[in-house]
Amino acid sequence: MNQVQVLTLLVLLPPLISFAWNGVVIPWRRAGKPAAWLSILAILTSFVASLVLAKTVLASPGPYSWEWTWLPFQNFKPIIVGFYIDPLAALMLVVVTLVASMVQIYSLGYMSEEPAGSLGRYYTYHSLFSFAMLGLTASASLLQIYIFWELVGLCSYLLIGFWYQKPSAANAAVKAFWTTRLGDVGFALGIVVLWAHTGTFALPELFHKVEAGQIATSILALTMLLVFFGAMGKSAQFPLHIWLPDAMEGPTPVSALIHAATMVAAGVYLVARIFPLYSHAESVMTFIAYIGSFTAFFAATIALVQEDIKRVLAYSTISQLGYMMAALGVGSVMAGFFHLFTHAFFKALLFLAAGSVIHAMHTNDIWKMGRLAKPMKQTAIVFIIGTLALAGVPPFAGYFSKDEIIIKVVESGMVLPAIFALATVFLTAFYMFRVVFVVFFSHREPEGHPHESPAVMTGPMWFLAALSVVAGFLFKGLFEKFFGHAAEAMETAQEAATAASHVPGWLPILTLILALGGILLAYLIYQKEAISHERLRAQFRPVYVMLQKKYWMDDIAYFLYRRVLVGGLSVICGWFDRYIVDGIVNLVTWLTRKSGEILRLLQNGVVQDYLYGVIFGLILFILLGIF
Amino acid sequence: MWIFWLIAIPLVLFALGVVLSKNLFRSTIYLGATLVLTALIYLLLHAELLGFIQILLYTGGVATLLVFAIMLTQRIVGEDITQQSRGLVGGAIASLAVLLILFFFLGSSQLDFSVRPYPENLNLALGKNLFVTYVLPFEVLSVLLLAAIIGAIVMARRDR
Amino acid sequence: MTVTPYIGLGFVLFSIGLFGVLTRRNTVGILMAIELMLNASNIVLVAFSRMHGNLGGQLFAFFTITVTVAEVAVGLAIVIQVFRLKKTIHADEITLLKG
Repeated sequence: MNQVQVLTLLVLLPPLISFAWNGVVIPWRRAGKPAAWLSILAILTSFVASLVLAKTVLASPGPYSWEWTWLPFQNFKPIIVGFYIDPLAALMLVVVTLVASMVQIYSLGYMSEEPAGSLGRYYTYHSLFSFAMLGLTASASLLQIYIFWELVGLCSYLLIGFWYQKPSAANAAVKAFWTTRLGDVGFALGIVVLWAHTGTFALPELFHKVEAGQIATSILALTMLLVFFGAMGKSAQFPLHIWLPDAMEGPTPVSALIHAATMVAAGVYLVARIFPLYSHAESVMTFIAYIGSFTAFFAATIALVQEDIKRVLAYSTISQLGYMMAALGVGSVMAGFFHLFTHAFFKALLFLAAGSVIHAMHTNDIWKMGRLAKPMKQTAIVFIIGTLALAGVPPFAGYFSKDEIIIKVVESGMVLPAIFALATVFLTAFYMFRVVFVVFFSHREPEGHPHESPAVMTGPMWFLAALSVVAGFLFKGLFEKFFGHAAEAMETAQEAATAASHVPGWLPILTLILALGGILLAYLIYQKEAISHERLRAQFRPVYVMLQKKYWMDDIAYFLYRRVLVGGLSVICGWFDRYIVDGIVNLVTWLTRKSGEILRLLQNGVVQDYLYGVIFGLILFILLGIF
Repeated sequence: MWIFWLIAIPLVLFALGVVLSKNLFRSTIYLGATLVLTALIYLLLHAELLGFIQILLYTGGVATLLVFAIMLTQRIVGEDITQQSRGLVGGAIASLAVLLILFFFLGSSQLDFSVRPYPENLNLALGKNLFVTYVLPFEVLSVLLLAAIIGAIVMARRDR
Repeated sequence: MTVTPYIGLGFVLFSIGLFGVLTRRNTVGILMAIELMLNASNIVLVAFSRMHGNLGGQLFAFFTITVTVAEVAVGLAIVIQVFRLKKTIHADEITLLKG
């Protein structure tokens, strides 16, 4: 085994061991705290290992790939499992382990009021999730990715429904599970069709084949579109985004880890991972670009009117994931993945800070908070850092990655995505600062007695805040070096088409102005109250209602589910079950009973009559022998 | 050949008497006669030892046992020893069908039914066969007889 | 000389015995009919033994006789026992096997 292999196993195995230990072998989960410590120890080990791994891989990029035969077939190539480590995977491993470590440490404070058994369960799930997410990241075959993909979906379900006594949490868990499953059907179909045409799930082989042009363009487009449905479900892209806001029913650290930084980014990661395949399916790429940019804009508008602090962040997450998708759609892995990288830090930070606020206030409603900057100084500072990073104000991390995306989108020459992307900058700055001003600075008196969170919570927050500040300019060069080239192939192909739309020099300035404009507007409305937001609301009532109702997307989904699926399909199924299935069953019962009644006449108990049967049978056999 | 028919025709008649007679006692007597005539058939077939054993065991043993059994049950029932039959027609059809099939086989058989000679010293050969070649089944049979006797005693015992 | 008549005689006796087994109501009568059938099979065995010039058939008849004796002993014991239990010796009234 070489160094990379050892390190990869060192990254993957500790969470698995922790899960197995806490969950099954020695159920420390019942004791609570020991499970938490073991889980944190495991994820920190993974974190350190992933740092070393990243250093190794970035020094000599590989890619490193090794495989084992899993399912041998007679007439086909065997299905393999294995690991495929390139800079993309290595950096993703770092992101996952880092955010997971911070969130797990933070959870020690946030979940301190949980009973022991419940806490142990929480950390057991966390370990399983970490393992699944890391496995997904390092997988060498699409099938393996799919398995881990479902596993993280399961963990998401378990953790959203962590407080399963609450009906809303249980429902949200089910909704998340179903909605993502809808996309996963596409994913499963996609990889199976791809397998049927190429005979392999292995990533290196697929890349090789597509480079050699051995996969028909139509098949590639079809399968990539299907796989993208899976990514849409996981990464909450329109119209499968409806589960993510509801997923906020889970504990806030879970939202930070799973529903902001890692699992929802899995869709983006998947597209980036198999980008060599996508780059040969241009129609799908365009589709991704439109879906991504539209989702970014769409979710940002809904975020404008949300009153639940976590839901604002949830819609913001959807919006940012849309950005990443849009970047991938226009062919820039670098921009998309870079944004994933920075977004993981500042969005996790925002969630943790929001969790800190919720922990202090015991409510999610921003209108019940106010002037929290004074009692919760540290939380306020890190929240503002995260907000600035998200809004794209230099020199914070978000500025670099988001600018990169906008430049790439504008460069691509697609008008609508470009407009969406630019408008979203403004909206993002506005809705985030709306929260900041209302929660931390408004003159309203907060309810209750808010207090600063313990160090075990603020520590991870500060760590992430530091990264949110520096990650942008520190790592931009790194990302350009490793992922810039992936875009080149795409760019040369599109060069002719996009030559006209050269990026104007004023674009970065425009985005900055838009961001600052959003901040200013939020300041005027919610801090100075120069413009009364009640009056605005009254003025634009239809728009407000539409946003408040989230474009009725939930209602449409509910209608589709309730009336069409349950109401329509189930009526048919019910009729079928009642009359056809039950009918057959009843007929069989009736036949059995009747034939039994007739046959029991034969069983009269008189031995001599049985003898007639013997003779009859004997004669039959003899006749059979003769003829 | 006429000796065979002289024996065979009464034999069949006695057999019919066994299954048709209304009197159980008479049936037993007919059975005894059937068995004795069968022994004569054996003699005709050069199975002299078997013929004598047949008379000894069957006529002496089985018939006596049957008489005992009849006496026992009659005494307990206190019923007349006349007996009825049931389903005469069905029984006749079934047994005739079997008979037809058996004769069909006999008729369609390609075998050569002519007699082949027995070994010189028949009784010596029989003894060798019985006590050398088939000694194991012979001994097993003695165990079976023992088991049957014990079983019969246990079953027929009045009280437990 | 052929053994065909002997074999035919055995078949006839067998059928008569079968008829008796099928029609007799008295269990002891049924037992007698069974004796008849076994006797018929013995005749056939001996006839075949003669036909082949092989003593195996005769020996088999020996064994059959012995087994028959055992069978009669046990069979009669069963008849008596069943008679005590059901107060009848008529086979068609003993319907413990009735479904």
